[in-house]
Amino acid sequence: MLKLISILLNLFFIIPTYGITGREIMVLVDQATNTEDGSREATMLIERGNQKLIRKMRMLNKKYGETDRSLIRFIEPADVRDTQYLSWTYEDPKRDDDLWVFFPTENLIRRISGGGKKGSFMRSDFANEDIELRAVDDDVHELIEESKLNGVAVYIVESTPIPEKAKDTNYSKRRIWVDKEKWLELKTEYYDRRDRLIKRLTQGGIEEIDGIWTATKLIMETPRKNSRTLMQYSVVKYNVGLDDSDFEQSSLKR
Amino acid sequence: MTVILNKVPSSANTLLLTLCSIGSSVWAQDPFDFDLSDSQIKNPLQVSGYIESRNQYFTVQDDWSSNRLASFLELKWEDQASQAHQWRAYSSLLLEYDPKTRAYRNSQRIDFKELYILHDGANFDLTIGKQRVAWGTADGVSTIDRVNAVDLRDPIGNARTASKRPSWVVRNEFNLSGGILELIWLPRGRDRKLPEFGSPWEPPYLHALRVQNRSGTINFHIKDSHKHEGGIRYATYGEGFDWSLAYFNGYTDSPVRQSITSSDVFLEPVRIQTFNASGALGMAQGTLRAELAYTPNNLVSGKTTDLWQMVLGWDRNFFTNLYFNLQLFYKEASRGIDTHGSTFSISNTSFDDAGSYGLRGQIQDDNQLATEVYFEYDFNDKFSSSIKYLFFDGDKGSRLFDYRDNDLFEATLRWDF
Repeated sequence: MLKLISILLNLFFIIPTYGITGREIMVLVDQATNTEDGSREATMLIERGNQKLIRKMRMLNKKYGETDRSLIRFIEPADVRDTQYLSWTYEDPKRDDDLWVFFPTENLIRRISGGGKKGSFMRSDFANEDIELRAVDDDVHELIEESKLNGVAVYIVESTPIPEKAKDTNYSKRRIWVDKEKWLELKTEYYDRRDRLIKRLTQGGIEEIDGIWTATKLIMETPRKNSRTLMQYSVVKYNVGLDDSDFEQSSLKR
Repeated sequence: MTVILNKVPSSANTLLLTLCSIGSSVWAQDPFDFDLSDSQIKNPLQVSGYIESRNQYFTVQDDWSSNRLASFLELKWEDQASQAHQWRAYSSLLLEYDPKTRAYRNSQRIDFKELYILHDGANFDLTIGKQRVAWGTADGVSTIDRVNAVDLRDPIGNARTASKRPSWVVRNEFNLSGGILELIWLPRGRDRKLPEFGSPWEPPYLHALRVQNRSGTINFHIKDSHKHEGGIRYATYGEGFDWSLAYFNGYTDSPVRQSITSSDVFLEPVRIQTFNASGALGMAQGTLRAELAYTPNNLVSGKTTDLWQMVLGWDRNFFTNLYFNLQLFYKEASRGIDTHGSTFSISNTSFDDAGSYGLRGQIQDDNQLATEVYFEYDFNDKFSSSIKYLFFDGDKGSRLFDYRDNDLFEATLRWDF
C-alpha cells in the first residue's frame, strides 16, 4: 500500500531530474574559460538618462593554482588615467582577497579592503563584484531548467551565495543562462535581497579566440535606473605567457 | 567624449548617435550591433590635463583669498616596443593666474610639477627627474612621507593632508623575490618653498623677522644650500599583509635653526634622520595600518631631542560606498614633550555616484582642529565641480592657531581634456 502511495505521489509531483548538476555546469563553465593567462582591452559606454560616459581600461589576468591575479589599468577618463588595481583572488571562500590600488599622482601603492565590492565599477551598471573573478564554490548552484535562448540550447542555473560570501554581495541570487555547447554564460539576472530583479546582463559578440569561446560584447541593464552599460572587449589574447612581474606591485607605475 | 567619439569608426559613431537619439528605453533590434573599439589605447604619446577655476573666500577676513585660473598640462610617452624593458617619460606643468595673490606673489606663475624619465626593467627600474614619491602606509599624518617637501606657500592639500612638492630624484628600484628595494637620492635636496612675505600662510615668527629686516632693525637671511638628501626603503606586499622598513636622511621643510652673528640673523633647515617601520594588514572589510618612526637629535624649540612617532589607523567600507578612516598618532620627545591626535575621514556617494560628500580633518592637543566639509559632483566625464568649507582652531601658540583667520569657503569648476 505504501509503495502504491509513493508511486502515486511521484506521478503527481514530478521532480525533474537532469544528467548534470548545477555545480557541474558551473565547473564546466569555469573550465571552458580556464586559461593560464589573458589580456584584453575594454571600453564601456554608460548610458544613463541623457548622460553618456566613456571608460577605457586594459585588463590582465593570470592563474596561479587556486589563486587568480588580475590587473586593471584605467586609460579613460582623464582624471583616473593610469590608476591601477591589482587583485589576488583566492578560490578558498574563507580567504579574503588582497587588493592594491596605485595612485599615479602620488606614486603610491596602497592596500585596500574588499569592502567596496558592492559599489559601482566606474559609475557603470557593473558592480565591482561583477568585474572580478568569482570562484565556483562562492555560490551554491542549482539547475532549475533546460531551455532555449534565441534558439540556443541552454541550462538555467540559479546561484546563491554561500553564507560566508553573502555579506560581500548585493545579490541574493543570480540566474544564469549557460550555452550547453560552448559552456558560456549568455545571460544573467541579478536579484536583490527581496528577490526583486535588479540587473540583467546579456553577452554577445561571441568569438572563438585562441580556442576559447569568448563573449566580446556585454550589456548590463538596470531597468529601475533607466540605465545601461555597453562593454566591448578588444585585442583579446589567451595563454600569451604574461610575466609574473606583471602581477606584482613593482609593475604599478605611471 | 567628443575626442573619443572622433576616434571611433564612423559606423560606430552613427550607431552611438542613433542610440542616443532613440532614448534608453528602446533598444536596437540587434543589441550587440555596436562597436566601441578604437585605437586610442595604443597611442604611445598622450596629452591631457585640465582647466580649473578655483575661488577661495576667507570667511573671517571677509575677503577673497584666491581667484585662481589654472591650466594643468600632462604629456606622457610610453615605449611599447618591449615588454621586458620599457622606457617612459612624463611631464606635468601648472600654469596659474591669480590676481588676488598679487600683493605678495606673482599673479602669473608657471610651475613644473613633474618631469621624469623611467626605465622599467624586469628586475631593475630607474627614474631620473622630478617626481612625487609617497612613502608609508598611513593617511593624513605619515611619519616617513619625507621624499617631498610640504609646499609651504599653499600648504593645505585638504584638512587632513598637506600639499607636497615633487622633488628632483634619482630613484632605483630593485625588484627582489621577496619585495622591492628602493634607493632614492635627491642631488639638490627637496624642493622647499617658503610662503611669501604677507602671504596668509606665512608663520608669525617668519613674518616678524622679515618685518624687522625690512625696517632695518636686523639683517635677516635664509640659508638653504640645497644639500643632497636620500633614503632607502625595503617594502614587501604579500597575502594579507604588507610591511616596509625605511630610512631617510634629509632636512626640515622650514628653516628652523637660528644663528646670530654681530649684525645678521640666519635661519636654515636642519638635518634630520628618520628610521621607520610600516605595516598594513587586510582585515576582510577593512585595513589596519601602522607606522613607527624614530628621529634622533630632532630640533624642538631650539634644543635637540630624540623623537618617537607612532600612527595606528583603520579604514573600511560600510554598506555600499560609505567609507570611514580614522588614524591616531602619538609623538614623544625624550624631553617629555609629547603630542597626540587623530586624523579622520568619512565619505559617501550620491546621485548614482556622480556626487561624493564627506567630512575630513585632524584633531590634536592644544585644541587644534582643522576640519573640512565638502561636496564634489561630476557633471560628465569632462566637467566637474566641488565646494568645501574649511576651518581651523587651536590654542594660542599652536601650529593651527596661526591659520585661524584662514577659514575659507572654496568653489571649484574643472574641465578635463
